[in-house]
Parts: sequence; C-alpha cells; structure tokens
Amino acid sequence: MKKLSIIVLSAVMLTACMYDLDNGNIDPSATIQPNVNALYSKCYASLILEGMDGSSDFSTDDAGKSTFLRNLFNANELSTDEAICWWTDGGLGDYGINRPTPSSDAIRYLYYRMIINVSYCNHFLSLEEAQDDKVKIAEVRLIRAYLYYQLLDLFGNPPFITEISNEMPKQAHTFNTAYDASKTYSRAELMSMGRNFLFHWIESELKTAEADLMEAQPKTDADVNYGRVDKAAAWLLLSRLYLNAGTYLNDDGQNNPYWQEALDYSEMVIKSPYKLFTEAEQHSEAKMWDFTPYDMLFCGDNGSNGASVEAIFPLKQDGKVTRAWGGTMFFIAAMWNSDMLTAYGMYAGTSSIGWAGMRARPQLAEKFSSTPDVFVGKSAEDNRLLLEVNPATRDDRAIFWGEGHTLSCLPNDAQGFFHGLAIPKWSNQYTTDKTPHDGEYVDVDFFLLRTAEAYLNAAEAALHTGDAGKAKTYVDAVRQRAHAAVKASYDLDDVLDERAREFYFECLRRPDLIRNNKFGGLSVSYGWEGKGGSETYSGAPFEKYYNVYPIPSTEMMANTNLIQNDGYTEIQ
Amino acid sequence: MKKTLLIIATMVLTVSAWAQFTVQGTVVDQTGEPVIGATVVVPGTTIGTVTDFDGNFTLETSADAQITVSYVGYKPQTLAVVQQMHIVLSEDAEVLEDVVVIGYGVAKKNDMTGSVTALKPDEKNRGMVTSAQDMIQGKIAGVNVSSSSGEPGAGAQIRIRGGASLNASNDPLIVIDGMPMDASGTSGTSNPLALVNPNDIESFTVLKDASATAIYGSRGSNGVIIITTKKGAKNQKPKVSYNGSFSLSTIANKLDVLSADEYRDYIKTTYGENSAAFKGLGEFNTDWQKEIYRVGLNHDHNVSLSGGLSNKTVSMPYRVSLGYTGQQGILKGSDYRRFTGGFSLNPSFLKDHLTFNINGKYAWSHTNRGGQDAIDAAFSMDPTRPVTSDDPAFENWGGYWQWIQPTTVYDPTYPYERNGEGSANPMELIAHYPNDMSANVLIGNIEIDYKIHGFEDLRLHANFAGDYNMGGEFVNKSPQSTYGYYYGGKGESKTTKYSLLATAYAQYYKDFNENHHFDVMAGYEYSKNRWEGNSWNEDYYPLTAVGTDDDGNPLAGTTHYASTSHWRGQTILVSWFGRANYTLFNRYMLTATVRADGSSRFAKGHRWGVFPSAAFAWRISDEPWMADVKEISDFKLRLGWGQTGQQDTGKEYYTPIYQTTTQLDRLYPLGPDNDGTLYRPLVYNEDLTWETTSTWNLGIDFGIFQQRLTLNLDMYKRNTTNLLCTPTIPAGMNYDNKMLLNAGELENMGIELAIVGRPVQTKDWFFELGINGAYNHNVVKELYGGRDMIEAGMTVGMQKNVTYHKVGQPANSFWVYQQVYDENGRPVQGLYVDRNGDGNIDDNDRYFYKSIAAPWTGGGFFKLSYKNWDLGANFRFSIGNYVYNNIVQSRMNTEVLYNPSKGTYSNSTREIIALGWTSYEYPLSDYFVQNASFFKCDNITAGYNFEHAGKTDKYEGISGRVYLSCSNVFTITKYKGIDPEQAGGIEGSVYPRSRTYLVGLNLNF
Repeated sequence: MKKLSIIVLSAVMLTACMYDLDNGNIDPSATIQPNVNALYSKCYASLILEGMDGSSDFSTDDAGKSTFLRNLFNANELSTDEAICWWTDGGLGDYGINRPTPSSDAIRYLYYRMIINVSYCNHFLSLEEAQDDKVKIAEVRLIRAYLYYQLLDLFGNPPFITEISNEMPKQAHTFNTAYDASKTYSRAELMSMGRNFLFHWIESELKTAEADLMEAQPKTDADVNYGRVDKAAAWLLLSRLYLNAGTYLNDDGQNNPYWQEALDYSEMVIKSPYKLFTEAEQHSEAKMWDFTPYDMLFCGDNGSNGASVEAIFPLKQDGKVTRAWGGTMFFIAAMWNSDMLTAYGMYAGTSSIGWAGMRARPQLAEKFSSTPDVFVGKSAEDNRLLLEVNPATRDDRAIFWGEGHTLSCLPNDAQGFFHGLAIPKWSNQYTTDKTPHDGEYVDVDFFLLRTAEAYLNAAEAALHTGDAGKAKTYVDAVRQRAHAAVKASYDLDDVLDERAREFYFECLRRPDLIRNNKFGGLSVSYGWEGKGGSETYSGAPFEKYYNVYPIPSTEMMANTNLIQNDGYTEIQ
Repeated sequence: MKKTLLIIATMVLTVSAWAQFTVQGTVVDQTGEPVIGATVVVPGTTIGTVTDFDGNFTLETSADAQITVSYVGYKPQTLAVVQQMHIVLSEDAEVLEDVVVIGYGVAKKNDMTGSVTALKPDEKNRGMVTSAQDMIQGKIAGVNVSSSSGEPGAGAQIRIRGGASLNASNDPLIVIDGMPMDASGTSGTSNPLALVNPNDIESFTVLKDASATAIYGSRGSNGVIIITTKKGAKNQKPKVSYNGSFSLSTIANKLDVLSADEYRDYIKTTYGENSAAFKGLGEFNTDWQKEIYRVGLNHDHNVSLSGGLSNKTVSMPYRVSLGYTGQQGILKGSDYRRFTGGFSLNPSFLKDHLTFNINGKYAWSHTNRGGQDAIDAAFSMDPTRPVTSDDPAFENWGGYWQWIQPTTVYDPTYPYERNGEGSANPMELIAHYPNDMSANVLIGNIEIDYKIHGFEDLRLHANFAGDYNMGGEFVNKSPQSTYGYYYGGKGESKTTKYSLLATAYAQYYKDFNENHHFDVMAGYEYSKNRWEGNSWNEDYYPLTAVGTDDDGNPLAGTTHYASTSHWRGQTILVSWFGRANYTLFNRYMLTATVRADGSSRFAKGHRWGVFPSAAFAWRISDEPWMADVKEISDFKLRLGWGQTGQQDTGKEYYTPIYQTTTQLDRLYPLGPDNDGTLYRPLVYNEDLTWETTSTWNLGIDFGIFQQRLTLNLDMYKRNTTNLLCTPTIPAGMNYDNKMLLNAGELENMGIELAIVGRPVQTKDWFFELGINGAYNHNVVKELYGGRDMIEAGMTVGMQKNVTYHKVGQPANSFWVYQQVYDENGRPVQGLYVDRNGDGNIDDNDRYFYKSIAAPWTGGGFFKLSYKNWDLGANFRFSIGNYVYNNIVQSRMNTEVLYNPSKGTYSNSTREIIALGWTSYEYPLSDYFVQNASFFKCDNITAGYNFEHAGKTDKYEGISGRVYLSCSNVFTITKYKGIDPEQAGGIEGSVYPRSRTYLVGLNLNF
C-alpha cells in the first residue's frame, strides 16, 4: 500500500514539477509586461534620481554618487574658474587640477550614468507599445539627443548605441561615412570623425523630435505636464549645439559656421511663451521676505512660486514623492556648512547641509566686483546689501558667503571649505509660509534648461553675426532681471562673464570656456586660481587634449572595440 | 548495521530461557590495561554490574544469556556468556568510522571510494560551542570555517578546498537529516546552521571530492556537509542527560587609539596652544572603546531524554531534547537567545522490514544586534568629549553629548540637529539601538525505508522533508536618537520561507557470492524553496511640530513618511540520480554515480545538466600478500573523477524583466494618468547556465599499529568551466555595466593531509595528537570575451576596485601600486614605484600582489587524559592569506582629526598619525595589503569525569563531567589590524571576536 502511494505521489509530483521549472519568477517587483508610462517616466527620472527606490541604476557601490546632475556638476564646474572641491575622493581632485585620468571614479560614474540613461531611451524607443504616442516618443528622442550631446561634449568620441543588442558597441567615429575601417587613423583623426558624426546625428534627432513635441508653454508644478519637455527644449538645445559647433567640428570654438542657426534657435525660445522670471511676476509674500527673482529660481517652491515660467526643462524633486541624494540636495549639501544663511537671511531648509565641499574660485567673485576681497568676512546677506547700496554694483546674483572664508580657494586641503567663498545659491526655503515636505529631502526642482540661456546664447551669436544691438538687448534683459546696471555695449568677453554671473554652478562653465578658447591649450592666457594644478592666482595652462575627458579604464577593459581619446594613456 | 539490529532482536527472544549461571570476567582495552567501571548488563533484564579496579566482574545470569559490556569512549560488545570471559574493548571512534552517512544512503567506511571525512563532535575537547560550525572549525583538512564576526549568533564562512566559483556562491551544500538547506538563511538569523542545537548533532560527514558530491549534482561543486542528528537506541532504558555551561566573554583586542591626553597633546603640537583647534577641545577623558564593551555573561543548558521501547515485532527508539542558549555580546546592548527543541523517533515494524526515521526540530532565536555602528564610532569619537552632558542642547538626544548644529528645519523644541559629519556618540547609538530580530524555524522529515518481503535485496526509500521558517526584524526608533531623530519611527520586516523536499529511491543489493558484491540505487527528487516577505516603515511629525502641509493643515502628529514593500521568490530543482557499487574480493571497489538536475533559475534549453562520477578504491591492506605485515592495519588507495555544478547565482529567475518602483517616495509623476511609478529594464542573460566543475582526486588512507597512527592523504585537481561571474560588460550593450554570465575557467589544485596519532594509551594515560593541513593553489585560466582580467568585487577608498581576477593569477588577487618607503620604513604618501619606468604613475604601474585566500591552512589538536582528568586544545593556522587593512586606510587622512570645514574632531591611532598622511586618495597602495597569516589557539579545555555519584543498590548513580575552557585563547600574527581572520579579505570595523572563559557540566542520570 505504501509502495503504491509512493509511486502515485511521485507520478503526480513529476508532472507538477516539470511545469514548475518554468515558473521561477514570482517576484512582485519584477514583471515581464512593459508599462509605457513607467518606462517613459524612467527616461526623465534617471536624469536626477539614483535609480529605483534609491538604488543605483548601474553597478556601483554608492548610489548617491551615481546621479547625472552631480556628475555633470563635477565635470563642468570643478575643472573651471567657478568651483573647486577639497574632498580627496573619487577623482574630484583630478578635475580641480585639470588632470583627469581614465581611472578616475568621478569620470566613471559620469560615463556609465549617461550611457545607462541612453539605454533606457533606446529601450523605450524600440518598444512597440510606445509607438502610438508620438509626443512621448519625441520627448524621449530629445532626452537621448541631449544625453548624446553631453557625451559629445564631455567625451568627444564615445560609443554610439541606438539599440540594445549582443553586439559589442562601436565608437561614434565608425558611423561616420568618411571612416574607412581598412585605414589607420591617428587618435586625433578618430576623435574628429566621431565628433563630426555625433554633431550631425544630434542635430537631426532634435529637429525630428521638435516636430512632434508639445507646443512651447511654461507650466507650474500644479500642471500634470510640468516636467515634460516641449518644442522650446528642442530649440534651446539646437541653439546650444550650434553655439558650440566650432568646438565639435573644428576643435576651435570660434571657427563656427553655425552662428546664425544658433541665433535663430535661441530667438525662437525668446519669442516663445517662456520668459525670464522678473520682479513683475513675483508674488508679494516673496518680496516681503526679500527674495529676489533670481533667488526664486533656486528655492524649495520653485515649481510653484512663478519662477517656472523660465523652466524649459525642470527636473523634479519633492521631499515626499521624488527623493534623491544626488539631485538638488547635492547642490545644497555640498555647498553649505551649518554656519551659513542665504542671501535673504535664511537657513538652508534641509538638515543635509554639512558636506561642505564646493566653493568658488576667486575668479568667480571677480565677475561681480573688481575688488572681490570685499566679500570676505561677510554673510551672504551683508554682501548683497553691500552691492545693493550702489545701483552700479548691484547684482542679485552675487550670492557669496564670506564669514570665516578667504577669497583664495587654496590650499585645497581639509580646511578647504574656508578657502574660497561659499555659495548658498540653492536652498529648500519656501517663498510662502508653507512648510517644505521633508526636513532633509528637498523640494527644489533643477532647471536643466532655462530661458536665460537662450538670451545669452542669442547675444553671443549676434555678436558673431555682427548684430551688436541685438546682443545688447538680450544681455540687458538678463541683467535687468538681476537688478544689475546695463552697459552701453557688450563684447564677447562681457557675454562670457555674463554667463558666469548668470549660470555659475549650473554645469555650463566648461563648454563655455572651451568655446571661447579659454580652457585647455598651452597658449591659453586666461587662467584661474589652481588651474592646471598650479597653486597660483592665475594658475598654469594645460594641454588642449584635456578639453575632452578620457573613456574610463573599466570600459576600455570591457569593450575591446574602443580606442582611448587622444592624449590619454592606454592600459597595456 | 542491519545485522547488529537483528542480533539484538534475536537476543530479546532468547532471554526467556532462564537458568542460574555465574560469569566471571575481565574487561581490558586494546593495550591490555583493565577498564575500570565498565558496565556489564544482560540486555532486556535488570541484571547488571560494573567492573572493579582491576577490570573484573562477576554476574549471575542464565547460561544461554548474552551480556553487553560498555564503557564511555569504547565500542560496546555483546557476547554469549561463558564462565570465564576475557573481553577486549576497542575504541569508540571506530564505531563512527564503521558506517558513514553519504548522499542518499550510508556506506561502510572501508568501502568508501571518495574523499569523505566523517567527524563525530568531540564532546570533551571543545570550547564555547554555540553553533554547529564551531565543531568543525580546524578539524578537517581542506575545510576552512571562519566566523563572520564575534557577534553572538553570527554566521560563518565555510570553504571546502577553497571554493570553485568566482561570483556564484562558494558555500558548501549543507544537508541536515536528508534535507538540503538553503544557504541564504532566514531573516532574523544569520545562517542555517545557527538554528540547529549543536548538542543534538551525532555526526558530520564532509564530502570533498566530486566522486562523493556528484550525487548532489548542480549543488555539489563546493562540497557537501551532511549533518545527522542524534537518535535513541533500541532496547535502551530511558536516559536523561544534561549539558550546561556558564561563560564570560571579554574583548580580545581593541584598536589602539589615542587617549584623551594624547589627543590633546597631538592637537597642541600640531596646531599650537592658541589655536582654535586646541581651544575647541573638550575637557573630558573618555575611553570610548571601554565604554561600549563589557564582560558578556553567557549560559547554555541542554537536556535530553533518549531510550528505546520494543516488543517482538515493533521497536521504537526515541530521543527528545531541549536546549536554551543565552548570550550577552561584549558590545553593550547586543545579545542572543535561542531555544531549541527536537525529537526523533525511529520505529521499525515487520521485523525491521519497515523502518521510519522521524525527526522534528524547532528553534526560536532572538537577536539584538546592538548598536554596531558604535564600534566604528568608538574608534573615531573625540576622546575629550563626555558621554552625557547636562547642557540643554543635548536634551533631544537624552542627554548624550553630540556634534550639533543649530537648525530651523524642525520646530522650536528641536533647535539643534546632529552634525552628521562627526561621529555619533557611540553610547547613544547603543542606548537608542532600535532593532530586534527574531526567528522561528521548524524542520522536520519522515523517512520511510521498506525492505520488500521475500525480496529483501530490494529496498525502497522515501524521504519527505520540510523546513518552515519565519523571521523578522522590528524597529522602534526614538525621536531622540541618531537613527530616528525628530520623526522617530516604527517599522517591521518579516520573511516567511519554506522548503519542501521529496526524495524517493530504490536500492538493490546483491551478493553474487563471497567475492562479488553489487548494489545499485536510483531515485528522484523534487525540491522547492519559496520565500515571501513584507515590510513597512512609518515615521511621524511630533506633537510639537508647527508647520502646515500644502493645504494648510497642521502637521503635528501626522505621518511624515510611510512605506511598504513586498517580495516573493522561489527556486525549484527537479532531479534524477543513481549510484552503482561493485566490490570484488572485498578489496577492489568501484562506484559510479550520475545525477540530472533541472533548475528553474535557467531558461529552457539551458536548464538540465548531467553530472556523472566514477571512483575506484583498492584496499591494499586486505591483499593476501599484505597479511603478514601486521604493523599496517589499513592501507587504501582511492581514485575518483566527477563533475558537479553550481547554480546558486543569487538570482532566482532568468527572464528578461522590468523592476518596478516599490517605494512611494521615489516616484516621477509626469503627464496625465501617470502616478510616477518607474520601470527599469534589468540586465538579463537568457543564455545563462550552471557552471561545471570537474575534479580528479587521488587519496591514500593509511594506518599502522592497530590504527594508533593514521594518515589520510588526498590530492586533487579541479577545473571549473562556464564560471558564473559578473564582470563589467561594455556600456550600452545591456541594461547595466555588469552582467552575470558564464565565463572562463578556474583551476584549483591541492593536497590535504591529516595525521592522527595515539602515542600513549595505557590504563591511566591516554594521549592523542592530530594535525591536518591543506595546500590549495588557485589560478584563473581563462576569462570572458578573451579578456585577461575582470574586477573581483572588493572596492576600497571611493569605490576603487582593488581585487581582480586575472588570468594566470589566483582569483581575488590584489592589483595595486607598489608603495615607496622613506629611510625610516614609513610609506610616503602618494609615492609609488614607477614600475614601467615611463615617468608617469598610472594603471600601467599597478601589479598583482598576493590574494585573499590562504594557500596553506590547517589545524591541530591534542587530548591528554590521566585517569578521570583530561586536557585538550585545538589550534588552527592559515598561511599566506592577505587582508586589506581598511581600518587604517579609512583613517589615513590625519588632517581631518581636526576638521573645521565640518566642525568636528575625530580620533585615530598612533601608528596612523605617525605616518602623517593627509589624504584618502591612495587606497591602492600595497601598504594596505597586509600579510594576515595566523596561528590561533581556538580553545583549551580541562575536565574531570566522574561516575556513580550517588550510587545506591538500585541506581547506578550519576556520571558526568565538569570542565573549564577558554576559547579564542591567543593569536600569533604579523598582521597590523585587529584580527587577521577576515573571511572577506578586508578588515573594517566588525564586531570583534571575544575571548571566552567557560565552566561546563555534563550529567547523565
């Protein structure tokens, strides 16, 4: 009897279990069914969040360091006359002395972050279920083009991937029709071919996307479409691409056949419903608390206080529902310490304020005052008052905390936070009496693209096309919003300085300097404290090949198709 | 085994014939020394006696009776009575060695063809034993057991022959009473072994080579440890035993940080007496490490009752046990309590044709891990600060001193927050530690064995086993703690897991004649492992909160943050297996096994694997031409080959999938009808399959002088192909920069030697000495995609990869820069040797320097006894293992001892300060890769054994033992960190292993 039951039981089990082998996945947080909305949101979210539920989107052991914005800041600000960081970890020091290496951790995070984001876009664009919504497809195309724009700008000749496959990705230069695989090229030639290919590909992608995007229309965070890109984003990116075309096509920012296009596309933005956020749009409570319009772009409630009229591409943050360590929290935590207050006399509005790493180099303060020493020893509020006294010196954008700090940003050691002025530009304060959603995670949205850039792009391009009057109109508009006195006329250096004043710490500085031939190159005379690792006030020039970053060594080891960027050591 | 049972059964029948008969006898041991106090009984009756001082006894019984002579440590003997008897008892060890439990059956030790080591827990020579793993540590050549930390209830890393995999699990398969355990353990406890009461363990069998493990197929690559629990015996009177101990644990080794005065001196000399740095110091003298550690009190009690009921056709051995362990960790606030209960029933029916083996075990454990962050904090915390302060600024931490800063983020009741850049107060972390873990585990199995009536050569066997466990962690954070400042918070996480196993096999024995023995077994197994869990977390705005939400409602008392999550997973394994044995002339033995496994972890077409093995053994000592060589008592040669697999990838399914957001605080709402849920396409590899290890093993078993000196030698070569590993893959090719794939080949070659000698064996004196050692050479032969190196996973500093798998090097080798030292032998910061001489220091100057795993490992023991006294000790060594000293590296920047940028001070060690580095930027220096070879004395134990305490006419009295023991006695090492034994090859701030002093008592009633 027992024997029989064993046999019967075994027979039943046998059938059941062979079928069981197909049912390994019962994980409730994993599914094989795609969700168009969720995959679409992912393409946006990965520009500011670490990943899912706070974990990193790619294999790394510090999710907080994996975010796009934080890495873009490190790459585009720490290497310039605007910012420096004393933290001795992860390649930040290498950025600061303009000696990036393939083994830099910071460069690795930057690289993998952008490529994983490209992969999410590639996946979405290949998804059958997603094809019906042309607008979303166009948005994701724009995001991918933006990512390739940054890859072009930062790495010159990165691998180029538009679909996920088992093929080992190939570098951009191999897609250039001029490339002949049977020939040998110098690394500089490959770089040039790769940049050329990417430039034209990005241009065409943005133009294709533009047709299907939503009409240009600013929104507040009460609008469900807040955070989505529309036609204005495509225009502004095209304007940025054309403005820098000289760098990408001729390795000389001033040798640019596209100035007119740069002007045209920025003017499309200027003429759109997107505006500069000015005093006229400020609500009364904000004025009562001494918020300037410029301050309100970087506040906890910038999605709702009116400032988002300028937000062409806002990346969302919310202390309750959209938390991240390396989004705007980074722009507060890393730049503050616990002694500081904003220029309008308030605390940061978040408990994450102690990382105390990033400060300004003295050249940034120089953009606001010919005697930048005046900022030393004073609070940000006092410095604002100091400039406000005289209409000729007034500028709302000069947000410098000087108490306990020196003007010089050196030595860049453990006491480094006090060497160089601190920048409490971002804060989680609300301009109303509402309470931030959390004591730590911030509500500040990051305006990745904002209207002011269109004004200054247009001004710069207009100077090149010979329309100085137009340039003055646009620069004046930006200065007037900041209550800064206008000048009779502006030259290229003025526009470059104006970009520093308007966009400092907003991840734009490195390409601006490169375009104006004031970054890499042994004959470049423009310098800043610590440049090229020289501990002098105006630093020392460095090789031009540092204008693009090296491909990380981990990637070089993994992808045997790749050739390291010109100038950098290859692993033997 | 069966034969013995039959004899006993026959005996029961024969007792009925009764006539008076006087037996006189002497009991001696193998050396001829009299055995004092040996028990002589007539089974099934109340007749019995004990031997006197000269080993003599007299007994009245019937002429056709049999007597059983037994003595602790010796093999009992049952003999028919004659008037004058001379009985030679042989040692107990042989009892164990006779029959060994192997995969799906038992085998006679003599007939074994594979590399199998059976170990009976040493009841005398042992230190503090909390978990089963403590009993095999250092005992078996080629088996390395390293506890993960000194935390009470901590798990252990067990490696057999160094591990065959790179990224897949290298844990051996653990089988408890036929039930393969899931290596991942239960939430609420550390590993599957932690929940088996070590006092219930009868034996361990360690299967090392593939010819022995291939029967476990795709789970056999890293060896198998079979644990059998104790059972009752037939016809045994109820026997009650008690084992208990009381012990004290103390910290063995602290980190030598500066005292408060030394710290003040350092700040004074570095920054000057008038500096802000010096003026900012506190005026207290706090030894933080002294504050956080304590003497832990532990106690352990085990009671068991065993016996056997029987009548003519049915017998029913039984054993019931209860155990309790209570341990206080040496870190204040950490403790561990465990209650275990178990029973085993082994009824047999139909004249032993139908036997059952029914086991049930239950364990409950409760772990309070304690504020372990305090360990690191105590290294770093400024020693000039007090533990507590009356300053109202610290009120919101319950008076514990903290690095604080003013804030307006909260409400006016909370004007300060902790400056997170400084160490939290270690004592606050201990006092406000919010977690509580507990687990309930139930393991049971029913084995049925049926010998077919009239065709006794065929045996049917079935085993149904189940394992159910439920574990959880409970969190209650105080608003006044570092862990839950202001918002407080509660949370819970629970996992329920069950495993089911059904095995059925048939075995056929045939002795064709005296010279040919044949047996074959074939079976089927289904096993399923499923788990499911939930967690929730909540925190709240305190009643003092003053803010309002976006709609203007007051926040006070409302929920600030809430989250829930849910997980579920399963793995299924379906298998067929078989084994055939053929023995010729009782000295040539052949074994072949095969197993086919289907695993749910892989896709169709990559799912089924077949794992064969074959082995041959030759008992040379049984050759007729060896009969004259009396000195050699055992000489056997074994040769085996087999293939095994590994499918434990850490992932439970293969399908291309999306991961979905589970937390409501990481959403990205965008556009209409989009709540912000995110989907992430996950990296996947549909071609993934198990890795395969092929092993050759050559073994020699050798014994001389009636086994007073035995030697076991094994040599092996293992090749693992299709290695499961997770290398960096080209960016953009899949959905991650790393992917689990089958890649490459790894080779392990080794030699193992175990020698046991009993040089002294007299009436009063006994001395036994054992030593085992193993050498394992591990080398990566090939890697994925033609590459010659991939990251091995250890990162240091800011995520710099420091270990790599490189073709031609051992797995987990350090790839580092060569440090330059100054004339005083101190490493110079940032100065590396330009090994390629190109004038640049870059990756091309890095070199391979040592690896994590020790090539040489082993252990040893001695046991010495004189009359009732005994003394024993166990030792363990590891030579050539290197540890990355991350305690030092993570403190290398001495500039931040005083860190005005962040407003904090922190402590360090004299050694680090003397080096004077001012950066963390150089973690890839070989300076941090330190030789961690060690020689440890795991325990020393001294005991006194007694018998017949309280003896009366009717009662034999109590026998037992009292002993004293010290565990983790000493460590000899050159390593500069705290403890060289670091399973992961890197030393951070782990819970230190303690030194334990123990007094124990065993009583048998």
